[in-house]
Amino acid sequence: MNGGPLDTMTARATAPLALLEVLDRDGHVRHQLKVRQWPLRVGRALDNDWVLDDPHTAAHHFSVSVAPQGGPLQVEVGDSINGLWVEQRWLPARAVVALTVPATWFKAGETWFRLRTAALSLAPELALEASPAPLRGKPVLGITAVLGGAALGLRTWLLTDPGEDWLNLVSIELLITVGLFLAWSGLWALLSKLMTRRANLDWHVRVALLANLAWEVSRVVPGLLGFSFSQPWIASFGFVLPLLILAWAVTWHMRQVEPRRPRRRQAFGMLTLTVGLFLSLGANLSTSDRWGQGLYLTHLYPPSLRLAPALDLDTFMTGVTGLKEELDHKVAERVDDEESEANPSSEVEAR
Amino acid sequence: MCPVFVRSLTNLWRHAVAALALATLALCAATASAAPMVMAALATEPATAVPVPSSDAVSVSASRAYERARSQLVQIRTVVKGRGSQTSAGSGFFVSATGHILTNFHVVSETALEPQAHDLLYVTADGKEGRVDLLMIDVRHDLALLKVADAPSQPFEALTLRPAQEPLRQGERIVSLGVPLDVGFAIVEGLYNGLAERSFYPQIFFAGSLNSGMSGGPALDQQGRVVGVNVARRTDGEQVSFLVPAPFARELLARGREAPPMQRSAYPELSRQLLVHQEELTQRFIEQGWRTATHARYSVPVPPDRFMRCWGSNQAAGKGGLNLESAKCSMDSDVFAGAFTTGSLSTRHETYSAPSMGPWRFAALHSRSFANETFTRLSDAQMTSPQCHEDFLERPGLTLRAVVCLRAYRRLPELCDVSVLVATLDQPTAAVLARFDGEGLSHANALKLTRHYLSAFGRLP
Repeated sequence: MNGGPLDTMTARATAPLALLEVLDRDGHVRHQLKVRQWPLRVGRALDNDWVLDDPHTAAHHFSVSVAPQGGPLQVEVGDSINGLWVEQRWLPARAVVALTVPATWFKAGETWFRLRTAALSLAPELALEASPAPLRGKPVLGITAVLGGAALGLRTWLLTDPGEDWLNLVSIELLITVGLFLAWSGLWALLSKLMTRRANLDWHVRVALLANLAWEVSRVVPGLLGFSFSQPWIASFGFVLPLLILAWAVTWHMRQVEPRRPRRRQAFGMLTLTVGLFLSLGANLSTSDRWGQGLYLTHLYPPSLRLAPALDLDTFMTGVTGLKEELDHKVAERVDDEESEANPSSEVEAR
Repeated sequence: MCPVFVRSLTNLWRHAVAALALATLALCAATASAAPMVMAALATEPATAVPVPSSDAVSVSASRAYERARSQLVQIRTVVKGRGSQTSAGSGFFVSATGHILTNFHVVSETALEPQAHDLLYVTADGKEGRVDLLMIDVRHDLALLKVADAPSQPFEALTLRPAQEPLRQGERIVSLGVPLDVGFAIVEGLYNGLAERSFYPQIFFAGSLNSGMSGGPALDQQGRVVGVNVARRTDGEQVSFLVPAPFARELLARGREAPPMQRSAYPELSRQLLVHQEELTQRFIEQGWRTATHARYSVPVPPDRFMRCWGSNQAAGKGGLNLESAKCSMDSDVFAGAFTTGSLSTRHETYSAPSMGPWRFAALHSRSFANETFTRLSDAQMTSPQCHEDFLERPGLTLRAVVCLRAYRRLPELCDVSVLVATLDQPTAAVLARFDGEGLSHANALKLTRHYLSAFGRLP
C-alpha cells in the first residue's frame, strides 16, 4: 500500500465509479486505482489506465466498460494468448463477459486484481482486539520468566542428592530450556514475519513464557491431587493438561500469524489438541492397555499431604476382589495367539 | 547366585529383577533360552586347555556304563507335523520291554500342548527311528511318559530304576547320559551331592556338567540303575546340575503304563496340575509364617528360607546420606509350562532413610523408586495386561500405599499372577518399599496370599 489510491482523472471532484486493487499473492492490497470513468484499460502498453510490468500479460490485456445499451459493466479480453481469469472462469482473447457482482476478482498473467464498484456495501468496522492482561506490560514478562525459571530450578533440585552441585545441573537445564524456548519463539516470529511482515517476537516470547509456566505447574498438580485425594485417575489423565496448554499456546501464537482469520486459529488449536490426544491415547493403549497413563499412581509426596483416609484391609481387599471380572473379560478378548509366539523355525533346539 | 551390592535406590530393584531372572534361567538351563549361552561357552573353550584324565579307572567305569545303557538310550525329537523338520531335541530312555520311554515334560511340551502341529520321534544310538505317543505328563516334576507307537518286532532293552530303599551316599559317583546339543550320544561323569537345598520339590544335586539336549536322559549309579532324570543346570556356576529323583519317575510309570495316548492338547491337564501345585505352594507358604525382626521400626514380611533363597545387602551413608538395606527371597525352581515358567513366589523389600535430604527431596526419591516397577512378565499373547487396584491402607500404627496387580494366563485361564507393591508413608525422610510376586495362582489363592502379605505389615510396639 504505497500511499493513497491513484486517480484515473486529475479532477477529484468527480465521484469514483469503482476501485481497482492490485493484490499480493496472500490477498493484501499492493496498489489501488480509483476509477472515475469507463472504460478502464489494463495492459503493458503505456496508453492503458493501469500499466502492468507482468511479462505474461498482453499490451492491452483487458478492459472494463459499460455495455453499449447502458447495461451492467462488462469485461473484454484483449489480444492475449494467456487469456483472463474472471472469478472461477477463464476467458480467451476477444471474449466479452458481463460483471454481475459489485466486487470481482481477475487474474491476468501472474497478477491478481479486484474491482470494487460503488454499488458494494461496506462491511461494518471491526473493533481492534486488545491483548489480554497476562500478555501485556513488562512486570508480567519479568514475573513469568522468573517463576518459570524458579519452577525449573526447584524441579532440578528435587532430583539431586544433598551435597550434589545442583546449581551446575540447574544451569545446564536452564541453558537447554532457554535454547528450546528461543527456538520455539523464534520459529513463531519467523512465521509471523512471513505472513504479516512483522515478527512480533515480544508477543511470541510472552505466550511461550506463560505456556512454560503453566506446563511446569501441570507437571505437579495432577500427581499431587491424585496422591492427596487417592484418585489415581487424576494423575493418569494428567497428560491432557500439557496438551491443553500446547493448544492454547498455538492458538495465541497464531494471532500474530493469521490475525484476520480467527476461525483458522481456533482450528489450528483444536487440531493440535486432537492430534495430541489421539497420539497420547494411542500410546497409552499400546503400552498399558488403558486410556490413562501408567498402571498406578507413582507420585508419592510427604505423608502430611495425604488427605484421603487410609482403608482397612477388608475394604481394600474388596477392591482387589473386584479385579476378577475385568481379568476374565481380558482373557476372553484373545485366546488364540499363543501359537504365533511358539517357535515355528525348523532350526534344532536342544533340550 | 551371589548377593548383589546396591549402589542406588533405583538400581536395587533392577538388580533384584535381574537376580530373579537368573534364578528362573537356572531351572530352564535345558530350554531354548540357555542353549546359545552353552554353545558360546563350548565354542570358546580351547581343546588344548582341557587336560585328558590320566587315570583310566573312571573312564573304564563310565565306558562300561555307556556300553550297558547305549541300547536303552534315545534321542527324542519334536518335528513339525507333515514336514518332518525338527523343532527341538532332548533325550530319553526305555523303561519297559514294551517301549515305554521316560523323558522331561519340557522336552515334549510342544507336542503335548500343540499336538495338531507336532509329532514326536525317538532315535536310538544305532540310528533306529520311530514315532512315539505321549501317555502322561507330570508337570510338577517335569517328567513325561512316552511309548513307541508301532508294535515292536522284538522287546526293547529297558533300564531299571534304583529302588528308593537304597539311597545313594553323598559323593557317590554317578554318570549321566544324553545327546548334548544334538551333537551325539554322550556320557558325563559326576558326583551325587544329596538333594538340592531349599528346593520346593526334591531334586538331586548332581556335580557334573549337563548340557542342553541332555534333558530327559538318565543318570545311572555304578550298577547301571537309574537314580534320576537329567532336568536342569545352573548357568551361573560350574557343574551345578539337577536330576529328578527316580521315585517320581517310577510313580509316573506306574500311573501311566496302561494309559491311552494323549490325543488332545495338554493345556487342561497342565492347568489341573498347576492348580495342584499352587494349592500346595500357597498352603506351605502361609503355614511357614514370617520371619521376625526384619526391620527396626516395622514388621515387614520376609519368609523363612525353607524353600526360598534369601539374600540381603546394606549400604550405610551412601550417596546423598542415604542409608539403604535390602532383602529379597525367591524360589530357585519354577514349573515349566510351555513357552514360559510359572508357579513360584518371591518377596523383596528395601529400607531406606535419608534425614539430610529433607521431606521433599526424599519424596521425589521415594516416588522414583516406587515408579521404577514393572508388572508385565510375559507377552500379550500369553498373558493379559495387568489389572490393578490401589489405595492407602491402614495397618497397626502405619499407613501404606498399596498396589495390587493381577494378570491372567490366556491359555490357562484359571491361573493368574499377582504382584503386590507396598510403600510406607508414615515418615518424612524414611520408608520401606516392598513387593510380593506370585506366579501361576488361582484367583482365590492370589487373594489369600495378598491378604497374608499385606496383613504382615505393621508398626512394631
